[in-house]
Amino acid sequence: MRIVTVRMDAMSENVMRLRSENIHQVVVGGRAYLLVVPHTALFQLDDVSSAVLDYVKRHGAVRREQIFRDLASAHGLEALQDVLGELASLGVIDTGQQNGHAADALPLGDRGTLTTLVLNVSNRCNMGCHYCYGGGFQDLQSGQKMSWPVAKRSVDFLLQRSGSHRKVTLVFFGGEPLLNFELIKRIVPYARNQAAERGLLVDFTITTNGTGLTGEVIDFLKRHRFGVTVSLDGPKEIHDRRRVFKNGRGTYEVILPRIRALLNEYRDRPIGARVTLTRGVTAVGEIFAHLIDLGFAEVGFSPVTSGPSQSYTLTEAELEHIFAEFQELAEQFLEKALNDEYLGFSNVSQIITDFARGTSKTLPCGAGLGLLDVDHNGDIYLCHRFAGTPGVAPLGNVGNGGPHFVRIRTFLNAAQTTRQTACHQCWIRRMCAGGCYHEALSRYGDPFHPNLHYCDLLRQWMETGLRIYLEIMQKNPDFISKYLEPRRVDYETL
Amino acid sequence: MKHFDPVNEKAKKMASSLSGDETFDVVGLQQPLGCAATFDPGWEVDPFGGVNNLCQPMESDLYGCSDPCWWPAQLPDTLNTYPSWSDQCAAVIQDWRKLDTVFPEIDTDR
Amino acid sequence: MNRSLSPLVVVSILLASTFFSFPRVEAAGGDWIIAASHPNIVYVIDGTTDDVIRRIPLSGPGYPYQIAIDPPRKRAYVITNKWESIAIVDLDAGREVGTIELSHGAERVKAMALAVHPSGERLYVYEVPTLLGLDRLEVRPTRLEEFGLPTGKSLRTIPVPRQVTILAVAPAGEKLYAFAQDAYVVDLQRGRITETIPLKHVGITGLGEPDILSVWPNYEQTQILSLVYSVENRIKPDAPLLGIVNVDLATGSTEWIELETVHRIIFSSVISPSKKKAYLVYTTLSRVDLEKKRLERIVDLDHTYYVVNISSDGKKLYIGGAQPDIAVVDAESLKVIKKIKLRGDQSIASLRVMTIGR
Repeated sequence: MRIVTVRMDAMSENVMRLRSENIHQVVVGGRAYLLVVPHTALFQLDDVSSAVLDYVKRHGAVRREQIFRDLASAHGLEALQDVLGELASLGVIDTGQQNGHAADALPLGDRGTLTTLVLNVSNRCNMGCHYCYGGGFQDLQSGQKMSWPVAKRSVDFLLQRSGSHRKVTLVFFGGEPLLNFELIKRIVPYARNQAAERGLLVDFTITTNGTGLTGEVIDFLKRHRFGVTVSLDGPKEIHDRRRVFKNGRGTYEVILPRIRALLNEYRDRPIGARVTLTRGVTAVGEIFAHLIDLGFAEVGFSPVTSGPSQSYTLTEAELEHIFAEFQELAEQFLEKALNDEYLGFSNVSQIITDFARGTSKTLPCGAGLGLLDVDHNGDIYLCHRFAGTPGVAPLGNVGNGGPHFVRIRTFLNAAQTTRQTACHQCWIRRMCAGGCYHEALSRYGDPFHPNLHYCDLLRQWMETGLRIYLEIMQKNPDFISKYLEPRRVDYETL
Repeated sequence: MKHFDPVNEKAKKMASSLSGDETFDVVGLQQPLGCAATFDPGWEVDPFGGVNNLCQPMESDLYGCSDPCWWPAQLPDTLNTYPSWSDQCAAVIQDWRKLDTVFPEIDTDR
Repeated sequence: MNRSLSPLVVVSILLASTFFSFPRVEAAGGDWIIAASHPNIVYVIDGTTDDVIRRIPLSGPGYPYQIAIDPPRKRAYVITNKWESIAIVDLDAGREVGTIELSHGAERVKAMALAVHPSGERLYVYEVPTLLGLDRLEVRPTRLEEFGLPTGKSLRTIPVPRQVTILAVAPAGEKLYAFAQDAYVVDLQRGRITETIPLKHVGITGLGEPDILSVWPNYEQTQILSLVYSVENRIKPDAPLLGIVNVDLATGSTEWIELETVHRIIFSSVISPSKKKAYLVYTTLSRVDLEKKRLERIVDLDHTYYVVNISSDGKKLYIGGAQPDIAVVDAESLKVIKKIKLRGDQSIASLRVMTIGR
């Protein structure tokens, strides 16, 4: 379904106006490309389309005859007509001959189906990292664990709400989820059986701090083909700066042998590392090298930019430094890709996957769309970040009728509207969609507010990603299908 | 497309849909009950530009239009979403004041 | 006296008023007019006195839509409950004796037309099914469902195209007509459509595609269904034409009669038992001489009526629909001789005439 807005201004049918907010152009390896922003569709231009686009760009609004007069001798009338028709159908120019164009808003007609449920099986953690957003949990020390009835109801709820999806994902999160391994051991076979009865596949993933990776746990994760992500920050001296036990002692020495055991024994699925970049923790290249050496298949970085007041928030200069290091790693990624090798740098492989596919989003993530979070009490939140955040009310409870889907839809509609207004001129708006709601809430006190504090850096970063994608497409296009497509997330089913 | 060469999946999809390679069947969900005159415009004016051939008086036609969802945009959809909208009003001419406004049922819709 | 009545007392008072306000009238042979109105009521009107003799509230929500009749068994089958149920009504006993539910599980089924077989043993319902998923609606193919009577047991379904609004079984019972933009003839023995009678696609030289309004089954007296159409006149584009097309349910033959250029709206028409006249209604009532094929009399009405039907002797017209009254009209003078008050608006409900004791 498309929302069509009719332009009421008196536009002569021969006047063409460039919709500059809908295009982004780059030149890579001497070839000109056009990104059609609303669809994230990438096209290579030829001489005629380049010339027409340049001409229209220079003039803003031009009459058809004017283009013919100035460019026909070089390109021929017929080719010009074709190009103008194609530009109009791509939504790049208004010709006044269409009676409308697709607006950016996509209606959310879904009555609330789920593909992914995050379970905060334990809101307790045995560590005391300084930057933890789980710090909002009342007490990490005495924090509670999810009970069997809540877990069971959550699984039932996910399966009932799966709609036409054939595969669902159960994410174990915390606190530290392995502090409630007893429950995980019980709920996984239950979910398997219940899903099988409905003809559904269920996938399990877990994010852990690594302290609980005993032999028994590793065996279990292996047996059920868990997707595993370990949160850690790099070499000992960096890691121990913020990832500490509650007594302040660093955790690196404790987790290292356990992580080695995991990486040695569980090789069926790639295991990822998730690094949190905070004030003083900005040595991206060094951290990356260390974690890849340890044997992680993928390393992803999350820069903390949310609250300006906290002692661990990155300074502007640090952010710039981080992005500079990202750029360096991205060049390494490209170099490897051209040699048909894969470098597990998640931040760049995700963007390249998005460009390859043409991911176009009006919402930043799947929270509320296909993903919800359940805390230890069975309270439902948009995502795991909102669980336990002071002042954020739950959207319902799995034991009491499930979430208010109308409230969720209202939230998503509001997010869509606010951000589209604020971001309507930005060329990465359909890939970023304003960024994380939770981050916006911490930074601006408003989850709908676009995360404006890193716009410029993110645009630069996307520009790098786009260039790398196009270079790969020019020199080693098979790389995409070989390395990136198997790991991509299917956004359209979210 | 002649002058734009797709270099990602979305561009390929767009190019093929714009070239008309992809077509979809469109089916009506329900019968639109066509009034006898092709040009029937609704309540405001009759097909001849006057009001003589509107239902007389307008109230006598309200359920004739709303019961089969003939003008669903202007009246609550009593066939599916708001079945009890007209429960308190059996005869519109007498009881039209009992027809109320409807709102999305937030508390019951989960 | 009690300050407040218990709900039970209120219910029994309501029931009492329902029963006692209409003392049981033994109907002699003659016409019964079967009507329906909001909130969810079916009426039996004695065609001799033109009084309501049975007022039958249907169970469940919604309002009545189409009515099919079975005169020998004095039964009516009524679409109700948001078009998702068929109420089986014993007209003589004055009560609903059964319900056929059409929607099951996640499949929502709306009935848009129905007809009883002349044998009284089978009921045909035209169904529009939709699968209601959590994240999508799946439009399913439309179909004709055959139910055994009086059991209400589903016997078979036959695929038929969309947009059907009237069903009618031929008097000999061998075939069924499904009226949509064209009329589909279903061979009931073979269980499939064997013929299409072109209506919209009739292709009369010089004319466009006729726009036909078929909502009210009212062919009881003649087994001829008369439908009103309007059509573009390609020779004079500013003067579209209005007419009636009469479909003989026995033979399947059609007769197109052009009446006038469109300058007023007509909703329905009925053929007199003599087959010499047709009557047309909306905010006017008019009579057509079918032999001369022309309008011979037009009168204004006090308000809009959607549907016209006629008594078995051809002397009285019953015009209803829309508002809560049925006007009894002298077929000769076209004068209103009586108004029958109903509880609520008839809306687009059917108005049927059935003859008892023949």
